[in-house]
Amino acid sequence: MTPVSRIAMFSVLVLALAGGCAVPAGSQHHGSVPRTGTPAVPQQPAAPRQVAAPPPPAAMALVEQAERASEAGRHAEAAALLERALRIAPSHPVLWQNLAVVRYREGDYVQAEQLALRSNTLAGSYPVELRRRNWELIAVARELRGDKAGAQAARSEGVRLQEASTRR
Amino acid sequence: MSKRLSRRGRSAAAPRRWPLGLFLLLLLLLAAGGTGYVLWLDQQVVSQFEGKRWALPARVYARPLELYEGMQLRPENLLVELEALNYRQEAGDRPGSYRRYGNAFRITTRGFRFPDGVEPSRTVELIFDGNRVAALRYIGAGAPLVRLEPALIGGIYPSHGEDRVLVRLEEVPTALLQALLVIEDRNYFKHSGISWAGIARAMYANLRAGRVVQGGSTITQQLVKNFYLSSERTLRRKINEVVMALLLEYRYDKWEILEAYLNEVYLAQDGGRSIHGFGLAAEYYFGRSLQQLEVHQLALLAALVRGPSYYHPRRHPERARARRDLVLRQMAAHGAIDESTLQRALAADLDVAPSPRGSSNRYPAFMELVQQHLRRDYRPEDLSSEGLQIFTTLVPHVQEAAQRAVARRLQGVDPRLEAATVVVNVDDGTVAALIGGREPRAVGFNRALHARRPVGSLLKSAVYLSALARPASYGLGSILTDAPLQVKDAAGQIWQPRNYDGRFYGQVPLWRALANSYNASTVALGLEIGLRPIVDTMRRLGLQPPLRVYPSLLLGAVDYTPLEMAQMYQTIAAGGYRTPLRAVQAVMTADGQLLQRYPLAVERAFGTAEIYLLNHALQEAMRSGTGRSAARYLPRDFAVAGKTGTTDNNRDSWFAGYSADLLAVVWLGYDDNSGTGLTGASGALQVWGELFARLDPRPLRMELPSELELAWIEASTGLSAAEYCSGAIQLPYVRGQLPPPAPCVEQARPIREFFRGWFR
Repeated sequence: MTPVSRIAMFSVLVLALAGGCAVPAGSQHHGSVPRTGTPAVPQQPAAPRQVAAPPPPAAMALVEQAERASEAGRHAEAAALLERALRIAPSHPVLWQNLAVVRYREGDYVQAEQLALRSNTLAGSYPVELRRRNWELIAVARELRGDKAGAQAARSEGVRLQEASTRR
Repeated sequence: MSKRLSRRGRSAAAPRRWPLGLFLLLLLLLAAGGTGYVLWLDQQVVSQFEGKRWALPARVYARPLELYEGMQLRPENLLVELEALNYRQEAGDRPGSYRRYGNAFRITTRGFRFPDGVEPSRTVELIFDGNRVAALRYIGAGAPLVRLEPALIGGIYPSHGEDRVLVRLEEVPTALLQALLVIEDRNYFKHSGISWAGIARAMYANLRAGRVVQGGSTITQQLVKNFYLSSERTLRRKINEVVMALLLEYRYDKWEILEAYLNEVYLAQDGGRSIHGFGLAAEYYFGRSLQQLEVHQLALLAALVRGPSYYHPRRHPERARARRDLVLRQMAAHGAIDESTLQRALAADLDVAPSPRGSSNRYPAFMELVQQHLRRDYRPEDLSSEGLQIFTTLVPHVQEAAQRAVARRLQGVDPRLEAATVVVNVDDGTVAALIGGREPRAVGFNRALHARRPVGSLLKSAVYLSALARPASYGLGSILTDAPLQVKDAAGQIWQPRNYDGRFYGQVPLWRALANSYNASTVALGLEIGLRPIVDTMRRLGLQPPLRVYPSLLLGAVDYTPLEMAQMYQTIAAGGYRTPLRAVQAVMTADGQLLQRYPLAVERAFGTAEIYLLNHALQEAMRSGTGRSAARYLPRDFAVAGKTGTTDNNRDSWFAGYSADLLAVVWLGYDDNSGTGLTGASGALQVWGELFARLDPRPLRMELPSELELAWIEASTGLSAAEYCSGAIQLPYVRGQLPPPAPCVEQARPIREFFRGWFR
């Protein structure tokens, strides 16, 4: 279970960091998403895609630096860079998600979950994909902390979002 | 040891009628003692020189300013930040300088080594459009943001107050070494520690004066004096000095001695701290690093060695200039600089920075918070000796704005009236500014951290949040009863809560009761919910509730500090995510190694829906309730939320309010608890308004969470209504938790259906 989740989260980070702007169509990354215990989700691209405003260029520059630091395993530095980006664009859910992913990679599953929740509360006008990924991150973080029921609940939230968006 | 020696000296001089044999024995003992004495001095020299680690005070930095396009910042606040950094307004793009052309600035940074990487010195141009950075252009290559150096806001000093910035020999400009040698010790590289000619000259002067007035000291001797000896002028000390200088030269390389000298020499006094070494002197006098100084400035530093207060360039510019010019001419005479360099340097002004800022602790209240924070992880002696670099969260222009706001509102009022203010960045819980008293520079009782006072109506937010978290029972439109009632207080006394104006308001909607801060209806609501859930809400807001609670808690008969109130309201302002407030972000060693980070941590404490509903009511307080007078400080229709607090007999005047990004808590009151005559609105709120008027906050813009919908509610009954009902207002409600429909809806239905039929 654990290795699969780690791979899944890796893909989340790459997408989140690279796709700060328009969250890209999820087709390539769906392949690696774990489906432990959840029914297969229809994979056609979600209906009319909302395109959310990207973080301002200054914040994006920091996100890119954070990405490099995190790739090199310097998670604390990546987190510090993302905190600077957040000071520039405090209510941008992609930045909160990226911070959640960095905490996840560091093994801080409590903060990974909390930051992903925070990202979700700010993501109202952003593409559903962003929130779905947050729920996935929350699910895996809970699982790794031994909270099976919580993980299941998070996963069904994700599925519910996915279904709601494809139905539309 | 030295004490014993001096006692022996005295006893040898006193007796007179000793037999000759005893006298010879004594001589022998003295010779042996002399040898032992030299050996002991040698051991002193070696152990201290090799083991010499200067105690380096921690350097405490403010949060560095980052500039980027689209940022909200008014030009005046940029100026405050540049001033905190001792930037000079001058042409030439020298590091640490800027020029202003109307709305445009051209800034050259000094560069800095941060915990997350090196920021090189850069030149940028900024163009403002009102209070916004409309354009940022690099001269040369660059990223879309530039980070200035962090302003030095203070240090954590050892008790003797010595402060220095260590420099290595290879970092020291050659011109400074040349200037020093020509003026202080021309034969430094030739002599063996002492200069016989110098000593002869000094002895002549001393004989003429009949006492010790002059020391013909070499650089080595000066170092010995500073390093090992007290400042008394006695013959014994002089002998020690000479012997130790010879020993030092015998043991160590000239360059090693010179490097130690460069870091040891005393160069200025700044209040309680003394400035040692050329590294810090460069910053103290010129606001630049040693490497960034020019020849005329280096010559001035060399000139100061002889007498830092006598030649003080700010107090005695003529003396300082004469001696600097002497140094420069000597440098030219010895071929260190050529004639044209000499002429240019002689023509230059003294060029010292106008006032030394960032020197002594400018913000003592904030520094106390920093030290309190660091004490959890560091021993006090490490903080004052290891040269740690502390990166704090203080925002200089916010701190200055808070100080001015307090000063402005307290101008002309009773000088005993005290104040405290805490300003916090909403999203990451970093403390941007802290004021512990009406005199922000004074070190003393820090009210922001230590004044535990009844919080009054500030606590009502916890009561209403508890209600709004029960959407099946309460909504913003629920009707509360504001009428006389009786409750028991802590002392078991019967107590009758009344409103501030002494009236009772009957049936009031819940949002109105909070916005107008009605007391009787709040107590009724709180008793209906029960104290236990409210205590739980307080805990989740980040407060430590009292062990025993009474109904008087509902009106804020509970003591907290302004900082604790900032924590409570941070949780509310940040959408229900509690973030422990922090004043320190990172600690780095003197040589740039990261020791520790204090990262952002969040914890969801409340649901999005209930926090949104509370925020709605607190915004209403600012639009039409007790906080409405703040509008005159803010742009038209600028959305903020906040709560006033007033305690019995107007002893405490509180306000907690926030925009999307900034939260400030203000308290006014007397230390002896006497009445201020101020309410939260007429006192603290006004300080808050002055403060926000000087900042560049972003207005609240809260998205309606998906769990909520906007519903029409009949204001007088709290029942579901429709747009066409008279007296209906729109309020956010939890989906599926709407109250039953009002009669107007029932009555209207058949008529509307009837009309609808007509068009079929």
